[in-house]
Amino acid sequence: MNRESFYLEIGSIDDDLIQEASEAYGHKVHRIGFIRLAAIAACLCLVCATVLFNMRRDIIFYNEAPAPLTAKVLVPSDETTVVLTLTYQELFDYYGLEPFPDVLSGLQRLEQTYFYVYRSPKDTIYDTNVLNYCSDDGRQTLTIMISKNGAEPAAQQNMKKSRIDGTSVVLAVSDTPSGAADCWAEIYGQDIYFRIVASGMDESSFTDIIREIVQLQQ
Amino acid sequence: MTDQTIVDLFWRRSEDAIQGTAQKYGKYLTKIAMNVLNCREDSEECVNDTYLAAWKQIPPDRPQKLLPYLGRITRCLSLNRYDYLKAQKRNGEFTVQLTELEECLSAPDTIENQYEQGELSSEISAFLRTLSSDKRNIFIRRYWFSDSITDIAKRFDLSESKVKSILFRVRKQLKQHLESEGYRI
Repeated sequence: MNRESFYLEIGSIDDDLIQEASEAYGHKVHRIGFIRLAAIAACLCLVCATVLFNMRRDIIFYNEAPAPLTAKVLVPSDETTVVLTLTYQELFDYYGLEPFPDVLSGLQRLEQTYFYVYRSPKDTIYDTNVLNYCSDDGRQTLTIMISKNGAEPAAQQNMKKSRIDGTSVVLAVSDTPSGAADCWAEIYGQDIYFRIVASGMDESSFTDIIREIVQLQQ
Repeated sequence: MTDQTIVDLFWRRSEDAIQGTAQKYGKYLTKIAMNVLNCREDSEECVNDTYLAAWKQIPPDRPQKLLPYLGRITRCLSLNRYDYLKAQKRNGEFTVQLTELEECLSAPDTIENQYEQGELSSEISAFLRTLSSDKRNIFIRRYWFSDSITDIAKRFDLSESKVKSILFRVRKQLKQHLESEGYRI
């Protein structure tokens, strides 16, 4: 089938759907109502100042990006660099974190035998490692790149930051025709850099995963 | 004038049927044609041809709702006209919409699978009913009415990027739905 034929097939959808769409409009925000709500919230904030101060409010904002930006990898690749292999537990000992679970929001971690860090002649350790997760039916994938010293963030300066459980995060959604990736995120916290790329899931599910990853560090 | 009244006029072969149709739906049909062709002359020709087609088809047809019935004819005529026009005259905006729809196809331009008439559109309808009304209406405004992203954003009071995101995800979901139902298109 070609695209013109598909366009015509869409033309034959049920009449009631077409009728509904012909009459559909968005709902304008009543600004006066929001001002009133904001005033009430401000009063509540004054009365409950201590409670609100202790609450960690999430701020979620998904930037639009043409494609998931690639983090710049700084790991040296010359002959004098020594490659050190680590097990999964050793890798997270190096990062100072609890190992990530084998199941993350219903996605299964794909088995990897070894992970790597790189030691330069000057004894500087570089690293970037990747964990891969996948749903049972293969429709949802998740890639987590972790780096302590070996990658530069890819998010552009003008990208708005979100906050999840008190941690600064850049969230973005990519509109790629090939569908290579839907959502991605960068987390900066405790000297560890995370870059997470997911496909096949919506923003809400992705946000839950990011929250889980943030909480794993705390 | 209600749709029932206009259809009755068609059945009585009264020329008031055309006048009533033009008064009630002329603007809608012209908008649909303009969204595809972006040319006033060609659009007017398609709309006039729509009235003629309706005159020939009613009777024996007795449509319950005239907007979808007439809109389909206009869409089809506009698409034929779009194909006929030389490449230079084609509407870039409509070409973008067709390109977007290609994402829903598993393997465009391969051997055509024969489906019963109406089978695929019924499945698309069933899929659309699983969506929230906003997403459904945005999808139909884009790919049935051929509205531009800008028009849809204004209509639903959303940003253009939000509209694009919604359409992108719905197209993906539609493709997955059709594949899971065994449609290889």
